[in-house]
Amino acid sequence: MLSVRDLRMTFPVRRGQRVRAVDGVSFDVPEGQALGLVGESGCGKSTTGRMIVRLLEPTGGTVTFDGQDITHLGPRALLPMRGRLQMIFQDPYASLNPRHTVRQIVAGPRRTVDRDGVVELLRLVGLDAEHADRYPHEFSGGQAQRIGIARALASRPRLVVCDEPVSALDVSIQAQIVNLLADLRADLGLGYLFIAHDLSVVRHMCETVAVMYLGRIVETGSSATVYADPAHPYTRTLLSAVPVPDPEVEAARERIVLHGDPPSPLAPPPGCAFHPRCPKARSLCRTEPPVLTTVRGRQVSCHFPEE
Amino acid sequence: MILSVRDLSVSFGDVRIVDGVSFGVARGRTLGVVGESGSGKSVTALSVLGLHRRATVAGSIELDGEELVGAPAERLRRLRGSAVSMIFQDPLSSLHPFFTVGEQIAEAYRLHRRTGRRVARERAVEMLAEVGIPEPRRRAGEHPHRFSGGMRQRVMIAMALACEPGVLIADEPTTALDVTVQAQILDLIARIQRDRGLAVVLITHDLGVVARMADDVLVMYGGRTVEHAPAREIFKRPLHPYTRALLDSVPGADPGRARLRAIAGAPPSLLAPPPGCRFHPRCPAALDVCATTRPPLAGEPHRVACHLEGADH
Repeated sequence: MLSVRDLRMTFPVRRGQRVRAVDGVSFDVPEGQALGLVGESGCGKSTTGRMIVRLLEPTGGTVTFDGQDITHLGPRALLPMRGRLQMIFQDPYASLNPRHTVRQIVAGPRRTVDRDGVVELLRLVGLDAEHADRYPHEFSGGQAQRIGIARALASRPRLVVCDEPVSALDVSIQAQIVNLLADLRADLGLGYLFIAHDLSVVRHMCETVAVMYLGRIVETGSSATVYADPAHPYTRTLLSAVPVPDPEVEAARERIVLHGDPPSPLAPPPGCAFHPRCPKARSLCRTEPPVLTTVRGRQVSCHFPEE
Repeated sequence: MILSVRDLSVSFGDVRIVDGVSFGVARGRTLGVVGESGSGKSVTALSVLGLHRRATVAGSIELDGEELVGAPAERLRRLRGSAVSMIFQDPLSSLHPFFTVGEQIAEAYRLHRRTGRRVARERAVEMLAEVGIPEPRRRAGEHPHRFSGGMRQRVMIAMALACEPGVLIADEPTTALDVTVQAQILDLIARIQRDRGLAVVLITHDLGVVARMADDVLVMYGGRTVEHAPAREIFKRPLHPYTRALLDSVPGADPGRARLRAIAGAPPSLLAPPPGCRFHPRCPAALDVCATTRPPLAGEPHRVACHLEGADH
């Protein structure tokens, strides 16, 4: 359904410098499937999501949706695609117009949905008909996110890009929204591109996962494979860094603690971008950029993948 | 107990944000305070520092044997930074953008220790080295915007600990950071705590962080303590339905399960809190008594405020 090939985004910064935010990313999201895009801040995961819904125009590569190349479509040509390709944002308040009622928000600027349709959508996301005439500030964070989801569903999308949809919510509310997204997917056959820094949410939601570091995918494969047996040292580090809610496990577990911060995309290190922080880097890693190759049933971009 | 809080209540006008919270922290120990937004966990922490000018604070807060509730503002100002310090979620908004980080650490030190500029400056460099900032002498001369999020949090820790306080209050210190950086900062806090015998109050919504760091855990809901127990105890045998539900709602607790066990409803409004047990409208096991009577916090050392526990099922 969605096919992304060698996608690139460079932004101009000061003094003629250019920053490569996304640097050659490829993946597919088949009909009704969920792909999780994980990585730390600045890795390019949100930029990738924004290019796919064409809030940004890529500077390289292609985005194909439903067999049509939408990489460089103009605003008018994009309109028919917009309905089928929707997005849910991290901050529900910031993404809802505070001066519009829930009805206006869900119905959309072109009133594609009538009164009954709005009520039906609100029920679908667990809100009531009486909520339709209220304003966003009258809702809690979890409810506001439900409104954002209802708005995204109004145009009957087939793929929804979810950019950190639960990370601004309280723990007890996160689970509600995760369940809602899972139910909607089962009922409506939606596909998701699920962007998150929370590895456990992605494991729960997505069949496939792609781990990004400094604008590139460093490991991708089925979630079951990647989580059980990560092959890239960065994936391994990320997984070991997430604290588990069990003090006995925490006390016993071996943790890989990286030194230093993620490098600046303005001056990416030569060779493998992860080598300055990699506990296993050798001289080849400093000079030669690795490419994605198949190792034990997943693709990994590392000269010396973990055994 | 270097810090001992008894029956603390904090109100703003008619609204009671914290309602009868008690805990103690000994030197070298970490208390994890867990709760969602509006649970009163941050307000509890700020009261320890006397940072609520308009609030009515009742109960007792004893720091190293000295009562802080009702203490003069000037005395509290002396104690802040020298006896008890705090670090926050967002280090950038707690650092002054115009001054170098070295100046900011030195200023706090000079005010409390009444030393000269040169001594204070040396102390700042020493502290930056202790919190693992490379080239501390050079970095001390730089402004906060030159530091990454993780490095800024290290600067905050350096500033908080420059005067060697006995208690550190950390309010969501790693929430804004990436996981690999979070791991570094948690390691740093744990190491400094070991070296100095610091008592730490760690406020967080992240049960994983609590499991990793805390010796004891206090779970807050709607301004009250619902459960308070040694960490191993509370994770192995959570007694309050809210604690249990929180642990169950974490994804990955049981991989392969199709749905997460979500808690229905939303946290209570403190403007009109539900009567009886504040969790009863969301509790799957609520009895009639839960809607009318506040459950007492009972048990030792595993304390829980739940009618179901008293009834022993």
